[in-house]
Amino acid sequence: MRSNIQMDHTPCCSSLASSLRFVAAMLSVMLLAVFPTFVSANESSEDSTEETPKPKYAINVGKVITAVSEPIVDGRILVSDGKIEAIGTQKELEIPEGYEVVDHPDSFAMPGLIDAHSHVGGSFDLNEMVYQTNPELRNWDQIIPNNDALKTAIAGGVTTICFIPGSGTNMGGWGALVKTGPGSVDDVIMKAPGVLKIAQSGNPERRGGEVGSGRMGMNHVIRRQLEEGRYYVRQWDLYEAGKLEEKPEVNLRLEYFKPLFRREIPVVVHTQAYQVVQSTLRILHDEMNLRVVIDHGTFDSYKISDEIIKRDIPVMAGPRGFRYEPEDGQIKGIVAEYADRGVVALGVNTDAPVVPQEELAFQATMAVRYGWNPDAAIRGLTIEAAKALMIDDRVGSLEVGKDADIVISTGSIVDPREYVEQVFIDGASVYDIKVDRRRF
Amino acid sequence: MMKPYTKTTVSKGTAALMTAHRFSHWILTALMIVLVSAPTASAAEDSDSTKKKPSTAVKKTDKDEKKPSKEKEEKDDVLVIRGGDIQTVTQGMIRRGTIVIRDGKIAEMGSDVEIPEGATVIDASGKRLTPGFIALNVSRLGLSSTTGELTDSLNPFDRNMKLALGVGITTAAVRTSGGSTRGRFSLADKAGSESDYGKADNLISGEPDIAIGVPGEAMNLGFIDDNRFVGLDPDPTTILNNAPQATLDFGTFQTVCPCCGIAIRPTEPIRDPKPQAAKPTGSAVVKMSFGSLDNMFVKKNPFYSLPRGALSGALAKDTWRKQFETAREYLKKQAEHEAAIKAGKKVPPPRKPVTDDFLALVQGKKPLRISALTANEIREMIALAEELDYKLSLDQAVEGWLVADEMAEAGVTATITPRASRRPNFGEETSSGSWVETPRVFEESGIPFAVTALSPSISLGGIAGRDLTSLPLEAAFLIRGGASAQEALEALTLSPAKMLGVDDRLGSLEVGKDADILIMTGDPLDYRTYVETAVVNGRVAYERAKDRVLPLTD
Amino acid sequence: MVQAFTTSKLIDVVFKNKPSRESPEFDFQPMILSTVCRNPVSRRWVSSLVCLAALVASIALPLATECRADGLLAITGATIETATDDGTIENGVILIRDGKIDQVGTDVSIPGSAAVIRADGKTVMPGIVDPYYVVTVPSSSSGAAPRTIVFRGRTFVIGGTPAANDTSFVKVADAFQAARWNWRPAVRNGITTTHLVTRGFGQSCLAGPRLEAEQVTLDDKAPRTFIAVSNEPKSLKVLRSGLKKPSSSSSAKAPSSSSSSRSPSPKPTATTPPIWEEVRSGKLPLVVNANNAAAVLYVSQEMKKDENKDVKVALIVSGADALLTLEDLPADRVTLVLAPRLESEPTTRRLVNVAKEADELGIAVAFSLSSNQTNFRSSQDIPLFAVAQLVHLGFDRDAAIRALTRTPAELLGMEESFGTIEEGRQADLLIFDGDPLSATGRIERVLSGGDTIYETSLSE
Repeated sequence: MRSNIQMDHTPCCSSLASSLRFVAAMLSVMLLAVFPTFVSANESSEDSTEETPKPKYAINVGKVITAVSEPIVDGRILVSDGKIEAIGTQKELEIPEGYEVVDHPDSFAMPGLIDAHSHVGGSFDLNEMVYQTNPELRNWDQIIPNNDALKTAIAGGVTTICFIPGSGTNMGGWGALVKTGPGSVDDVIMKAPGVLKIAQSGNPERRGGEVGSGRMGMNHVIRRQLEEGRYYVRQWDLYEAGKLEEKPEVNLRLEYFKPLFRREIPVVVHTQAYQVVQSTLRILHDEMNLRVVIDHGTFDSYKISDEIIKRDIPVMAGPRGFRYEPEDGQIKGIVAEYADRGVVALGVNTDAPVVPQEELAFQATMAVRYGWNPDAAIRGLTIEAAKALMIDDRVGSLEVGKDADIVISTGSIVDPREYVEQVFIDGASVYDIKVDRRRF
Repeated sequence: MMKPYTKTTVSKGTAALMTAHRFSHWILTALMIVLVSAPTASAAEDSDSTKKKPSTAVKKTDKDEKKPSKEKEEKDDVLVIRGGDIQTVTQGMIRRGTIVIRDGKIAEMGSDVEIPEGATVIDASGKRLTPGFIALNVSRLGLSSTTGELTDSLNPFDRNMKLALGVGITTAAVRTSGGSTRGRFSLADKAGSESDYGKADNLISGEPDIAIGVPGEAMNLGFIDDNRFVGLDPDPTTILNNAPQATLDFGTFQTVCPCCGIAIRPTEPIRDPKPQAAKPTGSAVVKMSFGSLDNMFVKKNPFYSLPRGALSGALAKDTWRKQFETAREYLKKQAEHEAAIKAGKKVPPPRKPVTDDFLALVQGKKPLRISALTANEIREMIALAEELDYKLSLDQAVEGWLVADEMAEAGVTATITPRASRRPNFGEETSSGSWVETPRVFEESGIPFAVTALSPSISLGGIAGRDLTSLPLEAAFLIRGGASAQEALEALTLSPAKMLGVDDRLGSLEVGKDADILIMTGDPLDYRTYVETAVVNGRVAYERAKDRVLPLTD
Repeated sequence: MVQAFTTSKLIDVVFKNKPSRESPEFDFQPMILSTVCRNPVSRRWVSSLVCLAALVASIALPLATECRADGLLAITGATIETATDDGTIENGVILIRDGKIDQVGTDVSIPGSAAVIRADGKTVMPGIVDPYYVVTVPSSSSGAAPRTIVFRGRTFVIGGTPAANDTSFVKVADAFQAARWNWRPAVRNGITTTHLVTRGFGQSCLAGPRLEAEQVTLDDKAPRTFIAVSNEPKSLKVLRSGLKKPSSSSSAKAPSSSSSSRSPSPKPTATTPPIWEEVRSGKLPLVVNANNAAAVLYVSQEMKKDENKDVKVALIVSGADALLTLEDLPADRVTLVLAPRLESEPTTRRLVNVAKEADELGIAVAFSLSSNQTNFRSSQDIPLFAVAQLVHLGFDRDAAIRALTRTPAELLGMEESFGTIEEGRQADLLIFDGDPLSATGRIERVLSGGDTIYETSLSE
C-alpha cells in the first residue's frame, strides 16, 4: 500500500496542484468558523515572505541524507519555487544562474523532521469533553503559525507536525498537518483534515455514570460513531457513483468522515499496551478498514508486533521511550523492541509538550541508545512518519519535486552534541544561525 | 500516577488534586497545596555535624585496624584494569594504560605499569576509562531516609543505584532534609524513586498522552516561577521546600492530618511571622558503592544550601546580615576564649548562636549554594556574597550568560542544565531567558560549572532521557552549547568534585585518589556509549552484562 | 535448663490430652475441652498466668507418673533421620520412656509393657523447631491515640505512637496470650517447638504448640534477645548500645549469673538488659531480624568490630536480602534463618536456592516454616514440600534435616533437650508415611514428649 504511494509522487507538479486544490477546497468549507484566529495569526507571524517570489538556492553540504537512498557525499541541492529541483554531487550538478549559494561544507543536509503527534501547533484548548466522540470538532482553527514552541522546534529540525486534538474523549476531533515555519494559516497548513484522533483507553475514561468508564464502553462509543460515519460516507459514495438517486443530506458533523473512509487520511490512535493495541488493530483496521497509525504504542505494545506487521500498520512510538520489564528487571527500549520484531514502519513522537517539540530528534537519540539502528532512526524521523501520515508525496525525504524542507546540521541529527545550522521550509530559509540567535 | 513521596507528607490530598486536574486546563488555578513537611531536627543535625566528622574519621581508622583481624587475604586484593585508554581529566589521555588499585585507591597508573602478581585483572582493551561521574541535586538515592543520622540510613542495595551506575554516576550529592523558603511552589511529576521501582507495570493505565489539561502529572515537566515552562522535574522535596512560608511556620509538629492528608492549619491568633533566618537544605555526598557500606558515605552538607529567593527582599537580607554579624562576633569571642584558655585562665566558652554549618560558611569553609535564575537575582546574590565575603555557588544560573563576566570576576561557580529552558520576557527575546550557548559563554569567561540533570531522581515511568540517568547526555548537550569536550567531561567529574570539596578524592584519575572508575564502550559523551563496568572504591559495583538493568544491544 | 523445660512440658501430661483425631478444618473445641480436660481446676491454671507454671509442675509431677503406668512407648520398623552425626538408621527402633528417648538403634529390645507404634516403611524425624515464630503483642504504650493540643494559640494534632516497629523493650512471655494466637498450623506442620518473637525488640520465649490454645506450653526459662534492625538510626542505636560493654561497675555482676536458667524476675531495661552480657560473650546468639539487605550489612559491620568478635547472630532475613549479603557475613558466627523457598534474585529475577548458596559458604542455615506463610497455612500434611524442593535443587539433604531440627535447637541453646533423635532427648518426633523430603512426604503423627499431639485422619 505504501509502495503505491511512493510511486505516486513522481509527477510532482500535478500532485502539488492537486494538494493545493484540496487545501483550497477544505479552506472554503471551513471559512465561516476560522476568521477570528486568522486575524491574530497574521498579526503574530512576523517575517512572512508574502508575495515576494521565493529565492532560488543552491545548497552545498558535506553530506546529503535523502532518507530514501544512499547519502551523497559533497552534495548539492537546488531549490526553486519551494521545491527541490535537483539533487546531486557538487561535481555533477551545476549551479544555474540566479541561485543563491549556501555553503555548509562540513555539514549534513537532511529532510525536515516530522512529528506524528504534537499539540503545540496553536492554542492549547484541545479537549472538548462534553461528548464522548467529537467528529464535529477540528483543531486547525486553533493554529498559531510559527509560535514560540514551533520556532524552537525549527531549531531542533522539526518542519512538519501532526497537530491533533487531545485524548480527553474517545474521538477528540480532526487534526491538521502543519508546517512549523512562518506564514499565514493557509501557508502553514499542509493538509486539513489531516488525521482523525481516536483515544481508546486511559485518558478518555468517564466516571460520571456514562458508558465509557472502561474499555468496553469506550470501544462501543467509538464503533457506534464510526458506523454512523461509514454509513454516511457510503450513502455519498453510492450517490456519487450514480447508484443512489436521492442526494443524501449534508451533515457537517460527519462530513470529514469522507476522506477518512475513502482512506485518504489516517486515524492516529492514542493506544498503548498490548491489549489496547490489539483492540485498535481489530476495531479500527479490521472492522472499519481505516488507515491506522499507532501513535503511542508504548508499554508492552511491542509484543503484538507480528499482528501489526501483518496489517502493515505504522507505529509512531512515544512519548515514552522505554519500559521497565518487571519480569526480568530490565529496561527495554520500546522502539528497539519493535524493530527487533521486524516492524519497519517505525518512528518516534514527542506528544509535545509532554516532551518539548524541539526534542523530537532526541526521542530518536534515546531510542538508538536503547538499541535502535541509527539509520532507521533517521528514516523514522522523516520518511516513515511522512508515509504514516500519508504526506510522503510532499515531505519526508530529499527527492526531486518534494517540498524543500531541508535541515542542515553540524552532524547527525540524533547526536545531541550536534546542532542545526540552517533550516529551509518550502524553499525559504526560516532559521540560520549566521543570522538568527541559536535557539536549540 | 502520583506516588506518595514520604510517609508524612503529600498523601491523598495532592493525589486527588492531581486527579482532578486531569480534566481541567493546565494553567488553570493558583493551587494552594498546603504541604507541610516536618523537617525534624534539621537544626539539631547541623549542630551535630562537627561531632559527626570525627566519627567518620574513626570509622576509617577502625577499618584499618580491622584489616588484619578480618579474613586475612580478602582485603589485600589488588585490582588491575589494563589496556584501556585512560581519560584522566587532569593529565590528558593515557593510551592503553594500566591502573593498579589497592585499598580502594589508585595505587599506580600509567602506560608501563607492572601488574602485581595475584592481582585480579580486568581487561579493558579498546575501552575508555574515565573517573566516575558526580551528580548534584539528587533526591533519594542510596539513602532510605533523609532525616536523622544519615550514616545509619544508607541503603547500599538501592536498586536505582544500578541504573545510576549504568550511566556512570558513582557519586551523588543527595538532598536530605530541611530548608525553608518563601513564595513559590511547584507542581511536579512524581519522581520515580524507590517507591516507583517494580511498580512500573502499574503504569499501564497511566497516560502520557495529551497533557493538555494535565499539569505536570504525566509529563516530566514542571513549572518554576510564574508558570514558566522549564522542563524541569522538581522532586517532592522541592515542593515541600517551596511551600509557602506561612504553612511551614509550625515548628516540628506533624501538621498533616494522618487520616485525610489535609494540612492542619493554625486556628488563632494568626500573627505575622517573626523574621526568621532561612533554613538550609541538607545534603549528603554518597557513593554508589552498591552492596557495600565501606566508605559509601563521603560527606555531609557540602554546601550551605538555601532555596531560591531565600535571600531576596529587604527583610531577608537584613536577617542574613545580622546572622553574619552574630556569627563573626561569636568567632571573635571564641578566639578570645581560646587565647584565655591557653593563658591558663578558667573561663566558660561562649554560647554558640548559630549552627556549625553556618560558621563554616562564614569562615569560608563551604560555599553558599543558592538558585538564582535571572540576571538580576544573580547580581543580587553576587553583591551580597561580596558584601559579606563568602563563597558563592549558583544553582541553575539560567540567565548567567547575561552576566558571565560579573560571575567570573566574583569567582562564582555554577550548575547548568542545558535543556532546562526559561522563556525570555516579552519584548526581551535576546536579552533574557535561557540560552543554549550558555556553556560556551561560561567556558570562555572561565566560570567553573557542573552539569545537572533535568530531574533529581530516577524515573521508571518510561519517558526516556529526562531523568537523572540522562546526566551524561546532558553533558553532551553542553557540547552542543559550545563547550569543549574536555570542559563537558569536567562538568561531570572534576567541577562537581571541587564544588563539593571532595576533589582531593574524586573527580579525576590520579594516583592516590579514590578508585571510582568507569570502563566505557566509547567516548564518554557519545549518546551510544554505556558503562560496561563501574568500579567504586576499588570494588566492582556494576557490570552491564551481569546486572542487566539496561538494554544489552551489542 | 533441661529440667526447666521438661517441667513446664509436663503441663500437658497433667491434662493427658488424647490424640485428637478430628479433621483439622473443624473446631471441636467444646467437646475436646469436656473430654480432654477432666479437671476444671487445671484448665483454669493453664489459662492463667504463666508464672504459675512452676507451681503447676511441682504438683503435677507425681500425678503424671501415676497416669502413665510405666510410660514406655516404642516406635518400630522406621527409617530414622536422627539429625545427629549418625545420620539415617534403617529399620530402627526408638524406645521412649517417660516422654524421653531412652534408646535408639537397630537392636533395641522392646519391653513387653511398652506400647508399640509400628512404623514399617515410614520415616521418623525429630520434631521441627521453628526458630522464628512471630506473634503480635499489643503496644506497651497507652498514649497511642493521636491527641490534639493547643500550643501558643495554635492547635496541633500530635500523631499516635505506632505499636509495631518500636524500639521499646517487649518481653514476649509477659504478653503471652495463647488463646489469641493460632497454633494449629504449627502442629499440623510438625512443629514441636516454637521460638516466639515479635517484630520489635525484646526477649523471646519458647512454646510447645498444641491444637488447642489452652494446652500450649510456655517456657521462658531461657529467653533470647531479639531485635529488629533496619538501616535507620533508632534500631541501630539499640543494637549498638546493647553490644557496648557496660562500665566496669555493672559488668562485675555479670559473670555470677548462669547462662540458661536465669529467673525472669529481674526487670530488664531497654538500655542494659542483663541478657546482652550473654550476647556479648557469645554464649547466646543475638536474634536479629534484618529488615532489608542494608540492615544485614549494618549488622555485619557491627559483628566485625573487634569488641564484638565473640558475638554470634541468628539472622532472620529474606532470602533475597541474604543472597545479596552472604559473602559479607562472618560465616562462622552467623546462622541464617530462612523461609524455605526459592527466592528470585533481585536484579535478574532468576530463581536462586539461597539455602544451598549459604551452605556452600559454610553458613549454617535454619528454616522457619512459619515464615513461608502461604505454604505454612495450606501445607495439608505435606509440610516439607518446599524444603524437598530445595533439596531436589541441590541443598544438602542432611543439612536440610538439620536446618529444621538440630540447627534451630542449637541456636536456642536447647540442643541437649531436643532437635535430634538420640538418648536423653525429648521424644518430639514426627512420623512420615515415607521420605519427608519427597514431594509427597505426608506427616502422619506428631509426638511431643512422647505424647501424640496430632495424627492425620488419613493414616492407617
